[in-house]
Formats: sequence, structure tokens, C-alpha cells
Amino acid sequence: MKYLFLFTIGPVQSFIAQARKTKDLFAGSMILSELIGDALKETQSVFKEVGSAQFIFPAFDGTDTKEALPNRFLVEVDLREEVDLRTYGNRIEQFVRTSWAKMGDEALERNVKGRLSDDFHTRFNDQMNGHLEVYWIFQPIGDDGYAEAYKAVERNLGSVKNLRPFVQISQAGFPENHRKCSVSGTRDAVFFREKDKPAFAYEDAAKIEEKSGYELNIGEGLSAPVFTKRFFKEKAKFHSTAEIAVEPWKEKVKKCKEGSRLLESFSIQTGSSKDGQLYFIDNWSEAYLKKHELKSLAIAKEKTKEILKSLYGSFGKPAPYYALVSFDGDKMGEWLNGISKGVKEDQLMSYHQKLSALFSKFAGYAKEYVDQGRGKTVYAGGDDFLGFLHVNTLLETMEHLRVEFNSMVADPIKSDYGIGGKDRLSFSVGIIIAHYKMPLNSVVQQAKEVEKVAKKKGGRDAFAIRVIKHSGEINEMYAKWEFDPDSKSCKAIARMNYIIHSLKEKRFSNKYISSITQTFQEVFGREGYSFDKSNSELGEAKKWLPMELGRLVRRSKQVGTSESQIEEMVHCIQETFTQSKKVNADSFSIFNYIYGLHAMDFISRYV
Amino acid sequence: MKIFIEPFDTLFFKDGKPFSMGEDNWADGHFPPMPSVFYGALRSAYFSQNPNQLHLANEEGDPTQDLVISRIHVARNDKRRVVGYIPCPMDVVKEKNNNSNQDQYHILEVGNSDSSQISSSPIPTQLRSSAPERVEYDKSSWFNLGNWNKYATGEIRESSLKNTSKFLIHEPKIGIGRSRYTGSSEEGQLYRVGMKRMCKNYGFVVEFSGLDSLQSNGILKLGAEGKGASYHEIDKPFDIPNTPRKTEPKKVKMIFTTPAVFSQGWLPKGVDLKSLEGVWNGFKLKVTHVCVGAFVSIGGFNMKAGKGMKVGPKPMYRAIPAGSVFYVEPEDFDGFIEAFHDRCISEFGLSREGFGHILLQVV
Repeated sequence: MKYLFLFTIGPVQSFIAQARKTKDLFAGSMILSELIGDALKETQSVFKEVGSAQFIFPAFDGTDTKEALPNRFLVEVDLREEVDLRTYGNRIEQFVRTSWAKMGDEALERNVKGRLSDDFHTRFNDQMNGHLEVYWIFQPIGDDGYAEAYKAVERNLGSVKNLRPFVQISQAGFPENHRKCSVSGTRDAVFFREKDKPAFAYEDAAKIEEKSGYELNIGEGLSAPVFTKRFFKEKAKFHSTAEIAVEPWKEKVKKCKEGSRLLESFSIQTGSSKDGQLYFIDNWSEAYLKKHELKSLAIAKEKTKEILKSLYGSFGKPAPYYALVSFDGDKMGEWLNGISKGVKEDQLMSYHQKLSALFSKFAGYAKEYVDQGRGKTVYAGGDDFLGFLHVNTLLETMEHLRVEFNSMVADPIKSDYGIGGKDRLSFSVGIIIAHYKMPLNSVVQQAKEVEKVAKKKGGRDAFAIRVIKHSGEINEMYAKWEFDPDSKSCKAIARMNYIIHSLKEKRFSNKYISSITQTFQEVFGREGYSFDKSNSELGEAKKWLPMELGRLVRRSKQVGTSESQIEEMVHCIQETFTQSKKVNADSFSIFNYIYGLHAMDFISRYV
Repeated sequence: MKIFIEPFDTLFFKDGKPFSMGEDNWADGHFPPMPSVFYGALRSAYFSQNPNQLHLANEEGDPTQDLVISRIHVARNDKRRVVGYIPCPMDVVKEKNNNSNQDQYHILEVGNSDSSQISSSPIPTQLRSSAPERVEYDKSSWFNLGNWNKYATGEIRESSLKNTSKFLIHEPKIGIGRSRYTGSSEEGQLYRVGMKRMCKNYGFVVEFSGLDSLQSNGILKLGAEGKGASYHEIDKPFDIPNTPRKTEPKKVKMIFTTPAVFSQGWLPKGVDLKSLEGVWNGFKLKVTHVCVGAFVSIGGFNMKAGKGMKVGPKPMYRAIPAGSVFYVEPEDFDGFIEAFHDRCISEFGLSREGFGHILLQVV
């Protein structure tokens, strides 16, 4: 008898997004990946006793993989004899729960010295046990075959997840009426790092001793699941947002001999501290050094500031902004269905395995490409990606990945399974450009939101960028990639790059953006304006707006700008406007276009 | 008394994360506020109107001790009537990959028990969608109580729902800490608070008893930062779903419009976690289908010590979220309808604060 076994763990979004440091974010993703890895191995092992298990999603050969694993897997189980499947499902679930508990125990053992009370252990275990969500389902593969069983298993897991069971807090009999975890806010903090216990802290809370890299800030308190993330394995090191933001500047400085020398002097002054925020001169204050326990650096404060001033004088200030990028495949439900794309029913399983292998290969490639000096990957597995990118190379990196996705996934699956027409797999991206001081959990949450903007408002095969300035001003834009398989490029990115570099090289004054904004606001009102099909003003506006855009751009040209550069810029500005109308043919907001120009102006300062 | 509360300004309802100046500089608010926010606001309003009784707060003879909230809804104050909104019931789902301009909604249906399906679910039968497409629950949508009968008959259109973004504007506030002595800004004390502004004519309807001497209109403070709001007794029609009629009933559908706390987590005490049978508030019944999303955490802070309580954080509980749906088969159908429809049912003494408000439908 054959069954499909679909297994998933959670919570995913809240667990990953509850991150105060980049390390929390990275460890959250690593933990979920390792737990699924454990579940995969256990599945293989338990079904060996009574039959076999063939992996469909993700591509898994029984060994540890380089790529991150998604939070769910699908397996075909072939049984030689009738068995109580519920027992097997529970066994795998229990194995994962035990792995999670072990991660907590190991973190505790490595980082907390001295004897902890029994009450503490009970509370710690209670918090760990109540955290993980596990859902699984077995679906028999009947006479209708794999295709029908696959549809049913996906639908039925959705039904199972209509109930997300949970136990009440304090099953162990301890009311949680103390100071809460600084990261999750939902459980008592059972760890703290202050000289004395903070107000309302749990009386048996464990003190975390000072360590290099101050994993816990003063004033911070953590619950058991968040502590497990923060102290998850030594290898889970990750650059801070400030370090990611400052990296391109450091690379530029290193290319110059004098720059290299100054940078080395700076490193000597900062000693063992790897705090990326120290590259920003504003942070060399008594208050900052005291708060971050860097008082020893205060002695050479003035000298270090002089070094930074020299570096700024020669190479400019480092960019305080970084990009967080989140993308996943478009219409994956339809593509996994396969049949509607023309895949034959008897080929569906091999189609799924192929798709899975292609995604895995692409995820590995994307991770490697980004980590080669373009940023740092948090998670790359299946059709999902989450990672930090440098603002200066953001657009070209994204364009490269979009192009490679087509070559590595979309084209092979089309040709291997005879999927005709223009229909091809694509992905949509949400990009947040944020200041390094902005709380990370908010940036992560917003990256997911913006990904939805790209899919919903951008109509998929699109990208959306939200620039969150330190002042609080937000500019958000969305656009189609306009991917061209022949030239292997994205026209929208090419236009954006031209505009950005024209501004960067001061061929045009950025005042034209203010002029365009002003013109549009005067004509359409300050409250914003959306055209829809029925609006006759759209027809009128179509005639004069492009001409007006061209006039404003020409007027902003700087001395030395050639005629061909002017014409190219006019073309880019007008075409971007024309394309922005096509994104959502029924209704489009004029402010998507305007905010897009403001976003490009902002990016031009950091390329 | 049934009152309409209309905020004067932005509001801020904080989660449980510590937020102290100089350490944590970013606080995101949530919406809607927990029922306990209104409970506290009404008590404070009473004491502000009767300051000579403040010393009795949390003590023997506390004049607000009989306060019981029986209804809390987001509402719109129209010219002729007040329209209530509840968080969208979780059995209302929309098609995920819908390409048309209008979202397509469906109501999950009661499925039959499928013995071939073996899953981690603690209940043997699940609510299922009959839609051809994949579906999802939209937790940002609100259901107009004026369309309750349409929901009962299975008709759900986009017009019956309102997205939070249509009546709530996110308005983050950036602030600075200032030196007590010089008045200049303090370093490292920049903070940001995720304020929310309700659109004009939007507010909350709160019905309560046990605080009869509260003035019929006045002002109160709502949520963190003590933001002001006006309130007045409602003198216009306000649609409340009727008590369901008996029509050869098989099952009763319970829709929670506010979060409810149960000692067994997702299931109330008295109902066996395996057989799903038992006694709920004195009524013998069987739970047959459930739609419960991810739990929400409910806490708070005691400002004043009193009977059995000290100053500090209140115990944190996990609650089933507003919008949760239970299908039950009660033995005493009429008695059950009478005891549960339009009532608040929650454990740990939280029903008096408005947790666990239930509306019923017969299916």
C-alpha cells in the first residue's frame, strides 16, 4: 500500500521574525532547517522497517545538505505490510520535538554556569514544549494515482491546519506574571544580563555572564525559545546590520593603499570589538561606549575619530543603509498542480522531483552568489530566499538572480515536460532598504509585506521596493521585471540603473523629481490619485503627461550632458511611466511612479 | 449601558515586550485592543468622575467590582444607525490566486469523517473548502454585522467585509527623551511608537452592566499613553444578530468575536481532549469541528495592589483568537442557545472583562 506523507513544522514567520539581532534571524532559520533535516532522516529510518520512503519535496538523498531545507516535506511511503500509521507519524513528530528540546538543553549547558533550580528547569522545559507546532498527514494513493492523492494531501493538510492546537501557559503550575521576554513579549524572561535582576523579573531567572560580542544587551531578558535561538551553536555567527551596511565602503577603502593603512590603524584602536557601528563617527560618544560596554575604547576616542575623519575625507562616509530581500516563486500552487500546465498525470511525481531538484540547485547557487561579497544569505531553500544585500549592488544582484532563475529552473522544467506557450515560472521580490539602527524584527516583517505588494499590486513576476529613511519617511514602489529571455536581462532594472547612475554622475539635477511631484500634486491633488478604466481623465493625461515629463527632465540637465544622454534619460523616464500604467491595467496609482523616482534618487546616493 | 467610544486622537495598544527609554526604542502596537483595555478604561473613567472613591479601587467595597462587559465591537457611527464589525469568522476564506479584481469568498463546510485519512489533528473531521482554488483566511478583514443573515445562508461577498486599512491608519510617532535639567534631547533616547488612527466616525461599541452611575457621556483614556476618547450612550439603532431559531437543528456554530481563554488551551475545561465530549458551562455536548487560528497572548499590568494581587505584570494567558469557530452538538439545544448566544464565555474569570463573546448560528 502506498501513501503520501506530508509533514510541516512551525511557527515559521513569527519564529524567524522575532529577531533583535541578525544572529537571531539566522539561527531561527537554521533551527527550522535542522529540525526538518532531522525529521527527514527519521522518516527514512522508521519506514525502512516496514517498507521504503521516497522523497519528493525537498530533494533529499539522506545526507546533510548545503542548502537550507523548507519547513515542510512530502514523501511517498511504500509499505510491505499494514501498520498503524498514526504511531509512525507520532514517532517522527516526537523525534522532532526531542531534537528541539535538545537544542535548548545544549544552549543552557554551554552558556549558564552554576546549578539552576528545579523550578527553573521545569519552567524552561514548559516554555520549550509549548513552542513548536507540528502538523502531518498520511494520504492513501488509491486507484486514481499520485496526481489525485497529491491534490488531496495538500487540501487536507490545509484543513488540518484550520485548527492550531495549543496548551495553556503554565501547564507546570507556574503563572507567568513576571517581566516578559524582550524579543517575543509573550513569555516570561527566564534569562537576564544585568548586575541586579531587573524589576518584576522571575526570581529564579538565570544570569548570563558577560561574553565577548555581548550576546545579551544590558536590560535584555529572554524566554527559553529565544535564548535557544540566540545561543544556538557557535557556528551561527552572522554579521550585524551595521557591518552589512558598511561592507561595500570597507571594500572600496581596502582597494587603496593609504585607505588600507588607515583601516588597519582603526582596527588596532577598536581591538577585539567587531562592532560595525563604530565605523560611524556619531557612535563615538561616551554614552554609546558605556551602553555597549566599550569603555576601554574611550581612551583613544579622539585619535580613532581622527582616523575616521581622514577616511571620510578620502572615501566619503559609509552608507548606513542595507537591503533585506525576500522572494519566492509565483503561483506555486498552479505550478505544483502541473496538470493544468500540460504535465501528464503519470509524470507528475517525477515532475515534482525534478522541480524540487531544480529549486534546490538554484537555492544553492543564489546563496553562493550573494555570499560572494554582495551580502549575506539568511535562508535559501526551495523557492524561498531571505537575505541581506548591499545597496550599491542591489539591483544588479537581483537582476542576475532573476535571469539565472529562468535559466536554471523555468527553462529546464518547460523543456523537460513540454510545457508550451509563454507560461513560465517566475518569482517576485520584496525589498526593504532600511537604516542599520531600525529594529530588525520590523524590517523582517515588512520584507514579507512588500513581497506581497509585488505579487498583489505588481501582478507577480515583479519586484517592490520600500525605502524606510531614518527620518521615518517611506517611499514604496512596485514594477514588473520586464524580463526578456532573449537578451537575458530585465528592462525595468536597466532603466532604473540608467536613471540612478545619471543622478549619481550628476548629469541631471534631482530637482526634476521634485518638479514632477509638484506638477502631479497640483494637477491631481495632494491626497494621491488613482486612475481607473472608467476615468476619462486618464485618456487626456496619457497625451500630455509623457510630454511634460520629457520637458522637466530636459530642463534639469547639467553642463556637459550630451544630447544622446538627454534623449536616453527622457526615454527611461517616459517608458517607466508607460510601464507603470501597465502593471495594473485596471487601476494604477500615479504615486507608485513618483515614489519610484524618489526611491531611485535615494539609491543613487549609495551606489 | 451601551456606549460608543470615539477616539480624539491616535491610539496605542502595546504588546508584552518591555519598552523602557534608552533600552528599547521601537514599540509596535496591535489592533484591536484586548477587552481588558476597555474594562480598565471604564473603571478609570468611573474613578475620574468619582475621585473621592479612588481609595476603594481593588479593595473591599470597590464600586467597580460588579462591572461586567457583555459586548465589544469596532463600529461606525452613521447618521441613522451604528454599524458593528466583528473580526471575520475563520471559516470565511478567500481564493488565494484569484486574478480578478474582486476577491472570491467561500465558507468552509462540514466534512464527513474520512477513516483513510490519518493526521496529527486532534479532531477526526475537519472543515473543508469546496473552492477549486487554494484558499486562505484574511485576518485583516472585518465582517459587517448588518450582513449576519447573509453569512448564515452562506452568501459572502466582498461588500460584507471591510479591510482594516479602510478605517485604520498607521501613524508612527517618533519621540525624544529630554534632559530633566536642561530640556535638551538626551542621546540614545529616540523612540518610535506604532500609533493607530481610526478614521472619522469609527470607534468602538461597548455594552456593560454593573457601573450604572457612570455618566451617560464623557471622556475616558484608552490604551497606552493615556490617549483621550469621548463616549456617549447610543441612542440610535444598532443591529445585533437575533437569537437563532430552532429548525430541526443538528449542530450549532459558535463564532467568537473576542478572544477566549480556556484552561486546556484551545478547548474549554470539561470537554475531553480525546473524545471531544463533555460539559461546557453546564451543558452536555460534543465538539465536532473547529477552526482556531494561532493563539494570541493576553497579559496586562496591575497598577495597584489589592485583594490577592500585587503591583506588576498580570499572569499571561494564551487565548483562541477572535474569529474562531466551533461546531457543537448540544443535548439541550434550547438551553444552550439561551446560555451562549450573545454572551461572554471564558475561564479564569475573564468573561466579565468581555473575553469570549459568542454569537451562534444553527446549521
